[in-house]
Amino acid sequence: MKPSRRRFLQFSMGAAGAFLFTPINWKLMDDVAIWTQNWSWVPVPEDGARAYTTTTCRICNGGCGIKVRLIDGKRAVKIEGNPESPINRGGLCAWGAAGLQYLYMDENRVPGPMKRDRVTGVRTRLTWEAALELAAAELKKAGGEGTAIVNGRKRSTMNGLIRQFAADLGAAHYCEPCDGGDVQKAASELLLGRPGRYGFDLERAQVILSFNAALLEGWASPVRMMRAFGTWMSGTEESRARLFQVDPRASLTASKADTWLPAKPGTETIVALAMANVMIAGNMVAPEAAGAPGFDQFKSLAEAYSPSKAAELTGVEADQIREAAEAFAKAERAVALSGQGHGNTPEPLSLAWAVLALNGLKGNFNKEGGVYLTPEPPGLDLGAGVENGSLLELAKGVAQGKEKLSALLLFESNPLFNGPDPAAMAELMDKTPLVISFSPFWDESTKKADLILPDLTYLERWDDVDTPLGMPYQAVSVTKPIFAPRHKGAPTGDVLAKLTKALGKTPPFAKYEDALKARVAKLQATGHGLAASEEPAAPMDLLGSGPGKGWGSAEEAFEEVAATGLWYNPSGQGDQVTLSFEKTLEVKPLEPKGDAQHYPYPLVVFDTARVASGFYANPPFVTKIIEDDFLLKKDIFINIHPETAHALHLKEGSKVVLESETGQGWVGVHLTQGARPGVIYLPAGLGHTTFDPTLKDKGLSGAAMVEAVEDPHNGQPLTFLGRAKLRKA
Amino acid sequence: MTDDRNAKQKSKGGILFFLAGFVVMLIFGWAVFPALLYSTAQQPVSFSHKKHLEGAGMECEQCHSFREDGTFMGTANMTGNFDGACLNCHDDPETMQGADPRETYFLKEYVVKGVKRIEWKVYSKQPPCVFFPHAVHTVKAELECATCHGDMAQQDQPPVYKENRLSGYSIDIWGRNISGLTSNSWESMKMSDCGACHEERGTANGCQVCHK
Amino acid sequence: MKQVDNSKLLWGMVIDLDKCIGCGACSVSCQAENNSPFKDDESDKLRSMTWLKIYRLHNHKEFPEYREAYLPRPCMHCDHHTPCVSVCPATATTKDEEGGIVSQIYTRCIGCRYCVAACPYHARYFNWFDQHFPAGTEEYLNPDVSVRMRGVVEKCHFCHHRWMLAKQEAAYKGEDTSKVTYTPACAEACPTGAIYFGNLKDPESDVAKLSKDPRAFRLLEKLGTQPKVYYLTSRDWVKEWSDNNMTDAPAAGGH
Repeated sequence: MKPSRRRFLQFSMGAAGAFLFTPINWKLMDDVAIWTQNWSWVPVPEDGARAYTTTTCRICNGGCGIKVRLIDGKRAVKIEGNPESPINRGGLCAWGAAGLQYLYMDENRVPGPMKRDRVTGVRTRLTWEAALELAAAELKKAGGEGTAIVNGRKRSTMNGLIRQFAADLGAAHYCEPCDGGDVQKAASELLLGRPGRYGFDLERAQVILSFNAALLEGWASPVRMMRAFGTWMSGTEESRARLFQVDPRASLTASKADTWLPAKPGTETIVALAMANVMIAGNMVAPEAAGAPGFDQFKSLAEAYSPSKAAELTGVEADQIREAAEAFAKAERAVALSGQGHGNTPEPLSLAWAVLALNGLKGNFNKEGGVYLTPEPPGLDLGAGVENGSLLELAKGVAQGKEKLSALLLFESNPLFNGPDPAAMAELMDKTPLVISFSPFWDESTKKADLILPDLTYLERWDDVDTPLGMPYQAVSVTKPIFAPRHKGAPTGDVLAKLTKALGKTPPFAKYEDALKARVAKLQATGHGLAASEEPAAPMDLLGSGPGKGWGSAEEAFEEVAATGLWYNPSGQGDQVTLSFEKTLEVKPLEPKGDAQHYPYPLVVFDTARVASGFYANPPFVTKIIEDDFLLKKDIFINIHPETAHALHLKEGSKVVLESETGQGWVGVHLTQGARPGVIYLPAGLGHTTFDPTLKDKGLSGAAMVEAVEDPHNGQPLTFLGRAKLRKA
Repeated sequence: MTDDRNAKQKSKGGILFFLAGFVVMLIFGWAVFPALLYSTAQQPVSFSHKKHLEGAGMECEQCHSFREDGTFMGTANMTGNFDGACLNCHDDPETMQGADPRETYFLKEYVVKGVKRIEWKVYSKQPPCVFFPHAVHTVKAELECATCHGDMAQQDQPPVYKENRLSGYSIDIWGRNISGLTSNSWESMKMSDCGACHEERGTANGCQVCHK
Repeated sequence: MKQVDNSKLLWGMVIDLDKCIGCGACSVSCQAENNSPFKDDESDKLRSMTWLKIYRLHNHKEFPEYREAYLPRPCMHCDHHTPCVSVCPATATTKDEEGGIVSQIYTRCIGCRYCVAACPYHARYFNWFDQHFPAGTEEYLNPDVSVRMRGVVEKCHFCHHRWMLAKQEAAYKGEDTSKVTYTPACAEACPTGAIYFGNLKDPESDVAKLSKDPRAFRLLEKLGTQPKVYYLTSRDWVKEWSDNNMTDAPAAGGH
């Protein structure tokens, strides 16, 4: 039998027929289906034992307790709020929820110590031994008189260690950027003769006057503020607390407030004084204020701003001012607060002072629902005698050749982006032969640094947060490492100790953990304080009610504080003070810098709930939820009123050049009735030139667009108000 | 006439070839194909369930236990949070616990060399889209382990591990019989098996009950 | 298929828009819990996978009467004639027999996108591309939720896996698994306590009580899909926006 085509076909037919009776068809179909459901490139997260570690979020200084979910103790997969922390009671903000992206976005993290050649820009990895040796040699060479330190970790025990390092180094320049807390201190000194911070019992207040603070968008201790708002909005419409927001735009806080007082940017102090005017005129002033020294002086200042006069100056209706002032004065529990954006940058001192004076008129100091003059909890008292100077002044001095700098040390600060005056900071860094950054991230300043001694992220190191801004009781939150470091960074506290040794001095502590233990020992020694727990459900109710519980030993205290993430003392008394209006400030509307002819529009740079504007840049998850009329592809959108747009022949979505004395760049135009006509609003925090592609080269930096106004009362740079024009290119 | 005969012969020959093709394909499909479809491997350690349970008097739960949150830990390994972690007993490389030459191999290759982990091949491993809570089945519904896994306690030698070359999962999911027909509940672990049992017992049968 | 019995357990959500401040903590927590990917550019919101999308509303008024409000939108888990379920040719999306959560089984999905078109709430997202996790970020993926492959649809599942884990724990501890409650990631994170979650059939639950609040409404109620997500607001203009200006009485659940 010879093979033939016909036979072959017959054979094939048989095979084909039999195929239907084999398992091949249905088996392969099943297997192929499973194969297509399990592509090798789709990651399968490894499973294991789930466990939570309690620690503290460190993205801002809000001190929120967090729980990190770990798989087999080696992978962190989720951050949740810690219900036991009285600060946030399980709540989170968007940044806190995205915290793992700071840990795991490898391209944003400095993998280990390295140096950079200024000429070629080439970076070389170093071992820690080599890096420390190099740093010590260079710092010796630079000498104290040529060294400047910028300390962005002011609300941590690290602050003392960095100050001490400055002292040991004999650093001629030491700068802590001014923030809302510093303005509080100055205001408190003026009015109460007490240079300390104070907090607000928001949870129990019935009427809240908020001046410019982005209260619901990340101010101070963000989650605490948001939680307080949740409390205000509970219950029936009649029983709810009332929020009055003075704000230059219909911000989220202004929108959610019961009343928005739309003040022209820079006139907020006048609104506060007009409210004082209403209170004084209506005999609604607490007796201790009316009898305080210098009250007549303050009275005559306030009398200059009747509601109708203030309405003219500020654009806020006189009736609104009256209504707010009366509600504030008549409520059993009311509080007034001021702030700027997220609180990382200062508000005008006159505003903080006038608003604190309102509280004085109300007579709510150390009272339920009022202002608590809480002293700072005891610290380590390191670096005594180190004077805080102005970085901007230093930069100007160097630019003018009056000062010479040989080394600049950056601790969690990114002056190239955050400023003040990024252009001046760039010049300063250019003219300083050695810039050392201790940042764990590839921020703008770190990219330019000559030597990087990278820290670890807050999830990998010990750290703490001192009483957050606006907190009515003492609170020290403790951050602890959730597992071994992912990269070859080292905790800056430990690095400083080694550097101090290499410079021939004795560091106060061999490692940061010891400093923290010593701090907690001080806290324990007060005999006051509690660790985070579910009880008391409302710590505010304990405010000013006497001594709290104590721990047997410092070790015991540290163990519990580290385990729960918080030491706090709701039972402490506020400072007893006497009000004095003798140092009455001269008040004028804040005038932005720049030529009004050339740059006709005031430019307001504002903080929002979706963009971080401090040292920590926006993580991808948060950038992802920014609206498309805010950021579209690479364009940031300014907010302007339709009338303003009409005058310039612009419409929604137009692309224009925003130009100021200090910078310019393309922006999109978003029209909104939430903007005051004739004012340009630019969101802060975008416009980074580094970081991963979700953030790099997107938008325009607000800090770079504003020439800081010097606060007439304390000289601090005010960076939220400038002048600009719009140009169709 | 001749044409007729030719035609008949041809058709007879046709059936022959057809049948040949038919039979060859049947043999291929039922015998060759399964052999081609699966690769075979041995477990890294020839673990005897029988020796550990009967000889050493251990309990199943020592090696196959739950965590406090009710998640199942799977199979014990050299170390770890198991009572039955290998090194808890086989900690001394010089001392035999029994007299099995396989133990000598284990001591030499794992204990002496300090290997941290035995890469067990899991017969019952399911794709990542499957959520299978052991606690719900064994503790709440009181199913025997053997219902799905067979009577492992009697096993002296781990079965050969056969991995589907296409899907990457063990043959035990489909069943060792290529036809897919089974006579015992533990012989296959397909979705249809899960569904049938849920249906039979009237328990929740929504997709997400088992899928994630 | 077993008869659907919603008489005892029906998971639902109530979002108090008076309390919601649009901070985004819910949306980010959802992304972190559910292994959401991110792209370099997420400003094309039709392609941006946000199971819990936050809409911004405003009151149409002029300066200075203008106000904004935010409205978080998870999947509505429609209880009646669920639009996505009724069009799915692959039975990849179903309304669960127990609890009524609308499921999405990625491995079953054939990527036809009928459901995306059918969903009146734009709650469904299609994976046009493979999801990308930049170096290091695969480490934070949650093992309780599958990573999705290219070509399938995904959406909010009320953190169903958390329920399953809670049930598993209850089973292990010998507790009654039918009484288990749980909290989705969004409700857990919400700093103002605006998101309530629970069993709508339990008269003692927050959600059951609040869903009958005079402030309560649902999105596009007129469609009769009986969403299991309720909203609360005391601002009329918020309610108007959210109802898409459909002022007619809601249909009584007809087809």
